Amino acid sequence: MSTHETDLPVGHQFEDAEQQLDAYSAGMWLFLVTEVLFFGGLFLAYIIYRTRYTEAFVAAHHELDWRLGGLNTLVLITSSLTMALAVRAAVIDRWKQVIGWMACTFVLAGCFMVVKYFEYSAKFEHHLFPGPNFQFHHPGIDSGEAQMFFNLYFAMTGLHGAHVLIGMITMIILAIRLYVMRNQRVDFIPVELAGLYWHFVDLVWIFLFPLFYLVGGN
Amino acid sequence: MSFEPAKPQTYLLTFAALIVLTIITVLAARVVLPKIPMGIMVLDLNIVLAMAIACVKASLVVLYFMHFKDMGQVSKVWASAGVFFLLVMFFLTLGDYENRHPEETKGWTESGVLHDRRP
Amino acid sequence: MSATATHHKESVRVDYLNVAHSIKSWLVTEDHKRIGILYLVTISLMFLVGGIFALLIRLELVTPAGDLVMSDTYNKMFTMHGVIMIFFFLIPSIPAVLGNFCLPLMIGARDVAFPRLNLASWYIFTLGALFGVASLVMGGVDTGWTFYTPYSSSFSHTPVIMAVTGAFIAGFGSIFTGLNFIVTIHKMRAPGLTWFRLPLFVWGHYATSLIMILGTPVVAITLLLVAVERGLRIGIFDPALGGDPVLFQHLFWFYSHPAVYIMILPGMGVVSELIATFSRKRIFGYEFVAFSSLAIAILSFVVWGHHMFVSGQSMYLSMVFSVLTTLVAIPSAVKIFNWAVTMHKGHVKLDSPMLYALAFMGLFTIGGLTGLFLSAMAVDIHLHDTYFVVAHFHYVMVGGAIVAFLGGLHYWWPKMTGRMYPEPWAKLSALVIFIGFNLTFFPQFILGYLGMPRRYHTYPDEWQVLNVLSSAGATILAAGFTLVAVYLIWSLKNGAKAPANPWDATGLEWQTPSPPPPTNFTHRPVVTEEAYNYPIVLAKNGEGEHQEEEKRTHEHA
Repeated sequence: MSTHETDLPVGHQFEDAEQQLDAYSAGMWLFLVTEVLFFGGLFLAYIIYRTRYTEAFVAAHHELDWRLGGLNTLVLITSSLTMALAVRAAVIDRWKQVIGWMACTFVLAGCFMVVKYFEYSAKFEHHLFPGPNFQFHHPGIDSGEAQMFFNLYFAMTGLHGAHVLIGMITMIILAIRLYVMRNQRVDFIPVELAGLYWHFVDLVWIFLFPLFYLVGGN
Repeated sequence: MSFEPAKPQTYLLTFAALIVLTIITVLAARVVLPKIPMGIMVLDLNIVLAMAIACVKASLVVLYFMHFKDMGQVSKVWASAGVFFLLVMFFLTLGDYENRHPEETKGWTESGVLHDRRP
Repeated sequence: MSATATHHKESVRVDYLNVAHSIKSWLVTEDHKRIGILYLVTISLMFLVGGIFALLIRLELVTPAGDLVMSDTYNKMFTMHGVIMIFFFLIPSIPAVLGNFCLPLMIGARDVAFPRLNLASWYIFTLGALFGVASLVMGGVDTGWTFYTPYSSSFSHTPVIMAVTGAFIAGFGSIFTGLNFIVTIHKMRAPGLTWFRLPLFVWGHYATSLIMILGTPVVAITLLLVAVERGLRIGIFDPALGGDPVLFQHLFWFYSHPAVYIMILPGMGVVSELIATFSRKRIFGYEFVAFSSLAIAILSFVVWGHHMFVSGQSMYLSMVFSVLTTLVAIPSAVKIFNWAVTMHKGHVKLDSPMLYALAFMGLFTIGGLTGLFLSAMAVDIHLHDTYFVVAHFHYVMVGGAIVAFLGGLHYWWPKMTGRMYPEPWAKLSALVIFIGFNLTFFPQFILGYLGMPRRYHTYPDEWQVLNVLSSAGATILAAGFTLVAVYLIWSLKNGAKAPANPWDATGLEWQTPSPPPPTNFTHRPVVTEEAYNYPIVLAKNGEGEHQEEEKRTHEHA
């Protein structure tokens, strides 16, 4: 057991700090396992429709700007780095650094959402949001098949975006908590757990980016 | 289990590797690879390559950002179980689409006009 | 199993019930025992609502003509019966009530690993249940509990979004419970309590949690997609939008078949406890029973396609699913055989919990074996969507899960409330429930075999006799359940004070007073022996062999 955790408060149900840390870490990983399966259903739908409607998916994905997707990928990867540094600062008990790095992460997450907002509004303007107003004209491509691409695009990136928002809210709460408890040793467990969550959000995007923006053979 | 702070260099190296792999995956999408028909489905080698790169990136994130070495035994087993059952779901469901007779699913590729049929 | 636990004087003892009395103290409690009670109250109310629908369905089916309700109303009745019973009663029943209450006690912990998450799970579940009730108040849903697309997403005129949101939200309650159990079992066991000293109830809950963790998220996303398809027209499943409704069925049953084992696995855990206690013997082949729980949980994820034999699924895949499904019979049979052998030459006492355990063994065997009929693809094509299927799953869910729940509730009632229930009434109602249940559902096997389809409110005249028998049985069954509710509530005030260990059982939960103190144990228990370490008593005819065999079994472990 590292010396850093000896003075952390221990919940009444636990025997010691080590058991508490073990339990929280295992609990968070289990939660991430449920997240994997949560997104898993959508990935399965993607695989099925992608293999059925290959040509329509290739045609439809040209409506997405891979540069914006790529930019967002870089933004999220960078935010993962800043979050990892926030966790590191928490472990070595530097509360100001933790808040600083989390603020960076928060700003980057905000950038991600802003880019996403512009992407989404462009799709709405071009009648590419699925529904009665959906219009997609491309010679030889069934518009219904192309609409499936956008169904999945909005479902998967929308769900991912919701996770980004939840992450941002978590960071605000953690920062306030850290500030309020600034005179104590930094309780790094919540920061560590938020970090795990944030890296998972990054991880999902790592798969979403090629699936939607880089559909085979540009 | 404990969380010994990793060196910032480790994080920076991981970050650099992720950036490089992102660039590689963009470039790889520019090469047109063959598409192999399998039953009623089409296997696109481009997507296989892109997913392979994504898996490498994901592994880097798990190994270094999420401190794989600090993961408890329980977490490791359960994370593997999660991925395993996800693959079970993928393989059995895809086994259906792979083996369906084309006639059986003929109708559902022809999309209709969208009507809201609720009142 | 021996443990060090201190017994306080009865007069001054603080327990988890009398430590605080205000309603607020219940609503903000983080005590797993109180949360178990909160769950018990919620699911009992939901059971009442679902039960009323069951009675209305049986009332309509007394006559061949559809004379009580219109067909649309009938559709809503069986849907609401299914939705409420499955999502808001059966899935949380044993794990969230008995599991929550007993699991930390059984492993000698002060609480579950995440008490606040535990409370959150109750609130989330209750919110989901409120959504379910709201969909009912808004007129009821008519899709069937399975919410099959495209009917649910495009055609139904009923508040489907409300109902699927309810199931979606309640699902997160279930995930949190499962997560809590797994971490608790891994990290919170008392010193000396190794995996193979755990009560089988705990093994059963571990396996259940596996399904909750790995399956529930998939149905969550599936129901979310149905809501989104209906609300925003982002359609993944609607064939008119190029989607495949069979994909919905794949995703739905990937969870919803394992969900059946969420209902039955904890029930099997309860029955293992009951059989051991009332036979006064170690469960025969403990390791096999423990691992068969895990085997059932794992196999449950590879059999879902047997719900889809007539859906347009590839017939080759159907064959694979058909074979895989039969495999589930192996671990299930292992349990039944081992319980039977445990009772062999045991000192069987027929207290009311044991009556439920015996009922479980018989009814679950029938339910399981008819499941084998249905797993055979060719037979299923004849029996699909008939009353045979209805009878089959009610034998598993009512005859299995609810009977086990009642058995467990009686068994731990003294521990939970500190009061004994009136044993003669308990025996009587167990008998009434057993008779009522069989009378309700056995005729349905025959009806199904004769070809009566489920989900219709009219039927040809020649099936009336069997339907009337079934409806009569339902009335008896309802009387049985009412009787249980009445005397259990009566016993809260008027029951005799329960001793710490009324059944003379092993197990840590019986080493602490009834009801337990807020922190479960005054001293942390230390476990030195295996579960079910009952003293060896020579059988009446003095067979030395039996004694030797017992000893051997103990040495092995």
